[in-house]
Amino acid sequence: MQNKLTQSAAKLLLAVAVLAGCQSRDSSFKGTELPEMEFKDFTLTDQNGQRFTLGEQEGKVTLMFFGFTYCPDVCPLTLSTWKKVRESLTEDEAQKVEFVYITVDPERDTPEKLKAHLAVFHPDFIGLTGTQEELQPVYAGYGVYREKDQISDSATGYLVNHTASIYLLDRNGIWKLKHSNDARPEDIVHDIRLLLKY
Amino acid sequence: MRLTPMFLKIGLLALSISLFCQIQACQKADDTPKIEIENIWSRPVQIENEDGRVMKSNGVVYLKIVNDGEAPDRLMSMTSIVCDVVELHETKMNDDRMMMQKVDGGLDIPAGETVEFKPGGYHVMLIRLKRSLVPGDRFALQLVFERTGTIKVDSEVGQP
Repeated sequence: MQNKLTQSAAKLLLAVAVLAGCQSRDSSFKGTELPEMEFKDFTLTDQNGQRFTLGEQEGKVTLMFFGFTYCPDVCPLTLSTWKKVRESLTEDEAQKVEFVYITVDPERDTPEKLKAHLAVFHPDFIGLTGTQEELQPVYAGYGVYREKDQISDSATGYLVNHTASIYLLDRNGIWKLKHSNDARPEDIVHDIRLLLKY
Repeated sequence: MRLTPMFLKIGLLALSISLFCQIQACQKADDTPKIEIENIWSRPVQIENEDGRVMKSNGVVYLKIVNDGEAPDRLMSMTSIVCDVVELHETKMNDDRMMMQKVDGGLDIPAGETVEFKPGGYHVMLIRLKRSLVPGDRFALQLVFERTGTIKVDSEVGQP
């Protein structure tokens, strides 16, 4: 009798452990969690010439990428991934998500250049530029590496080497996660949905 | 002069070596690269603003270079009518930092191997596009190889 009870209790414990395991897998992020950081607000100019302030995007999850429109490879790859992410979200979810592309090449990326570049991918994407004085604190605040490659003799002029991760900010504007630029769209969608639950 | 067996042996050996070298030389002369270009595609790019003014913009082409031949070849340069300059570039990632470099001096395509140009690696950079690249568009690209010469291909613009 006691043996049976012990066996039943062990089975129950095992079932609870398995369920807990599943629960923890379901609620865990696919991206890399970032260290705690306080909210860093900024105001820049979007592709329509309007001022964009992060602090005014209340309750929205923000995807953030630092790139430049002269970059033909990794930056469009990221925008292509974002397009798949955006198209995987329901319209209700999309209302609560911002896709924010911040230039690392403000000398060449004017609002009109950003507008033409982003229009190819999705009309909801926001492209931001600004003066060096406006942008430097944003780069510094998010630990973004950005360096003009003056040595290259490319006909495109200079190139810009830069941090190429996709950041996810939670609904309070606090950065939470990092994905690589070749991340699977479904992994990013998974993390957006988790952040929308908070 | 009397031919001793030793002289005969040396003579035969020299003759064999000479024949072997000639056969090798003939085979070498037949060794050529056999280059084919596959999976050629580009990303769409819009170069005009809302008023139709053209802005400086770059594009990209990805492809595979297959060398089924017995000898290596080297991609030396590229041209296209859709842009001012075509360059070979390579993206390298160092942790989460992206670095893009121009590849100078050509690119080796070893015998029997395939070199793939793909996002995050080698790519053909179209500098200062002369027109927008719209999904479904096709445009010509010429690749100049050291031994094979010029190969003309069409790149198709895919979805963004």
